Amino acid sequence: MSYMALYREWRPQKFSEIVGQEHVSRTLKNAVAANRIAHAYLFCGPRGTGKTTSAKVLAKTLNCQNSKEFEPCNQCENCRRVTEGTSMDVMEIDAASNRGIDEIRDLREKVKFAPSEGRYRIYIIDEVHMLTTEAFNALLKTLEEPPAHVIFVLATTEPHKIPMTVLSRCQRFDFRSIGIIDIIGRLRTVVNELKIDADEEALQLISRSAEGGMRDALSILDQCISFGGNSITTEDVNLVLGTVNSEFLFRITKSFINCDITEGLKLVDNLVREGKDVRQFTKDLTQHFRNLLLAEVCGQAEELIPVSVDLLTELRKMASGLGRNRIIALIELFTSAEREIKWASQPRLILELAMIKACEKVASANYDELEARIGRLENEFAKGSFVRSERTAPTIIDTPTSSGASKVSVSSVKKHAKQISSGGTSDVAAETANVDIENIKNCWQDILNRIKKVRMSAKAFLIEGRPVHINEGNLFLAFPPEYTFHKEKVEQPENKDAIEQVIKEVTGAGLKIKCKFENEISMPESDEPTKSRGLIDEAVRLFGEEVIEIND
Amino acid sequence: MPFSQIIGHEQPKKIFQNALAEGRFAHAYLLHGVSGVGKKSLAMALAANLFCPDRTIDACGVCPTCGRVEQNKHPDFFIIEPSGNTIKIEQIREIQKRVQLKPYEGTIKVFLLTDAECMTREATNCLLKMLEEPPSDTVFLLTANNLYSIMPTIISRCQTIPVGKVSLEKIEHLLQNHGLEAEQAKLYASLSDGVPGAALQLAVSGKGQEIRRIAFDLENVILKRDINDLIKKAEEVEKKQELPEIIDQLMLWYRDRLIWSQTGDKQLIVNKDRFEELKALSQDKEKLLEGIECLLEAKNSISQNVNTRLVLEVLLLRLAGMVS
Repeated sequence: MSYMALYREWRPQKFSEIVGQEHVSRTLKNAVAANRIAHAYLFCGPRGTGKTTSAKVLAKTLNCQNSKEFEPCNQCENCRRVTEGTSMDVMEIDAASNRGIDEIRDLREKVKFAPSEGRYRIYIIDEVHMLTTEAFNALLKTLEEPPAHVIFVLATTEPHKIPMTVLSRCQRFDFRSIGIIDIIGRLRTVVNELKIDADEEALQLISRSAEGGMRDALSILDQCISFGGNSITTEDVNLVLGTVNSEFLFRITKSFINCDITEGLKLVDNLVREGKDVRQFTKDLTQHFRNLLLAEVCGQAEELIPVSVDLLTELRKMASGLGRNRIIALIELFTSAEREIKWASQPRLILELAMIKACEKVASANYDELEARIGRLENEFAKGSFVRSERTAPTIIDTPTSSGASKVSVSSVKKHAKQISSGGTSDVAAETANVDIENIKNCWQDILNRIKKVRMSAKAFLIEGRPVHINEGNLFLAFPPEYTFHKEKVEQPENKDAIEQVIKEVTGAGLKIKCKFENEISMPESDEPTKSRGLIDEAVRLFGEEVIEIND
Repeated sequence: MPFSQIIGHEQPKKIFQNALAEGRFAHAYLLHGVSGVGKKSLAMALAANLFCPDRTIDACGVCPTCGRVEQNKHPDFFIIEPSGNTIKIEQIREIQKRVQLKPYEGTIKVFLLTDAECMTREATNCLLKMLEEPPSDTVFLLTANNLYSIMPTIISRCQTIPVGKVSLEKIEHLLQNHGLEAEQAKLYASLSDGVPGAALQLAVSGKGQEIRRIAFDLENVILKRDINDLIKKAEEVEKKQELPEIIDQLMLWYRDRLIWSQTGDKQLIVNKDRFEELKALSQDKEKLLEGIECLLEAKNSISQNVNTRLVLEVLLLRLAGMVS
């Protein structure tokens, strides 16, 4: 096995070769130049961003016999030994394997010996987050004041697992995820050096799926080279990554536009048969919708969408076919599907569900607007300003039914309709007062629902109370005697204000809330039937007897 | 076992064979795909290819070396499997010791870690450094059912090989070689959904059939909507070890019903043998969607150690539409 993986072969040996971490390499170089080298560094950042590499380059620079411009020469004995991992003065310790206090005690013992070859002894402690608490604590004193010839470099992907006491003793460098352009640049260098043909789109695909890790990118490249030989095409990369090409994504999108569930599910079936990763596909699809959205909302999306001109025109066409709202709905749907797939034992099932829901969403998106209009009208009714125009209610209800709305929306509309009409009758009776208690009771569920959105906790308390009567702009709420806690909570200013605000939004009346226990309320419950009976009589007087129907 | 004996998986095979032919064999591969699809078989074939002295373009499969690899008796081939539910740090430390030693017989050592997602956090971290830069005579092969339950730091050190499903015809053929009749082989191939392991389980061990029988029993009780029967059934099924699989099977049935109701396309149905029943059942989309969500939730709850009996009772009552 003489072959060495690309990411090992192409591990940077100089600061200048480390891509995307200029803020780190520059600081370190300047520190060497000014001879202001700290005794402890902490390198943290996601995988494959150059932490261990930087640590090694730093070690080499410090011990190099003929370093130029604060870069290691990589020729001298010391540099070579570090590269080979045989240096006596540069210890690379795997903290995940040597994580106990005994190993750290051992290290403390050896720290005091003078370097044998170079000027410094450098301890690179990799995966340092895996040290045990005891081990960390045993390290503290040494880390704070090591002998003059010792430098610690701690490297980790999980800095939040490191105790504060260790953090405060180190100079911390945060490595960033490497940008797509930087990765492409590096890959380009590598393929040129290896004399391999690779088209730009293929490299772009590799660097995108590497998600900011250079090692990931080089691993994928390595695999593509094994797979495709001396030339790498986009199709090879798709095959290796298990991703789909853009044509497939367009076909899926088209099936949504046509609401063709069968076609969509067949495509998913193909996908699974070919052994593509379902979650990766969901991710790609979300990315595709993101591109569609940008194509739709931005006039000049060329810079934001990294695709060819032909594809962009195609994207534009599809995007305008779908429309902004639907694309947003689809993005939401598939992001949540992706989250679920992560833990699911049957990822395909989740994707299929998402596909079915997506087609439905696209079909029903038109009704959203309608629903919003109904919502507005409902508000108007609740405020009582539409008193004499009862006839509007039926017309609104008719529209979606006749245009063949899906079952859900019809039933919900009907429910609303019931509310509207009952609200309407009481409005007639209460012409004199702006808002009366029947009105509030009708909207009570609505009010609760809205409070849930504004302030969840307030709803939890308010749900035990029930509106009883209104007196001089005060809305009296009755709580059962055993719910003292809830009553007090509702009375607290922050809850009370929120509730009053919502009531105002729903009914348009600026009512103040007064909380009472049920037994304190002067108006007993037995009054209720007579009162509503009175209302009905009033209605009979206004409209005549035959149209009356009581919905319970 | 040579590659040629493994059905399907053309692409992974091609990647491995190219890498071997061009001498670009990496030091770490991670094979991932659903359980039973053939990841371990592929890895074993790969190991045989690496060791076999008589290899031409594939391992010979007959020499003593190949035989010992297959029986896990080769001194330079190590299989590390979860002990209990997890792969523990001690097991990784054991690898670390062995990695330092020279190969005993050939020129390389191969470590196969199955179910790599079962590694504990400590074990995973312990493996990292070794996995990144092992000695030049060491190869790591990892297998995993779900790529995303593995730490990204591990993934980035390996070449990841997706192992996809196998075409139904090939599975059918495989089953026929196992002595099944053509008709039955076709059905089991379809039920296996492209997973050879599942097909063999159905056909040879009979375990899969048992699971299916229980699942459809449940479905019958659900359709009858008798509360006494439902509760009794819950009690009966609760003790079964294969409960997650039973729920999966039931989920598949609901999925078939849903898909049938939406598309009317027989090709997309998995439980083809029950097609007549499927057609006869009611196809209310909302209800089916709700049912699948209930099943997902129940499976989730069971995996989180919620009282199994309660979960099952609630699930059955919900599916029967007796509680909302």
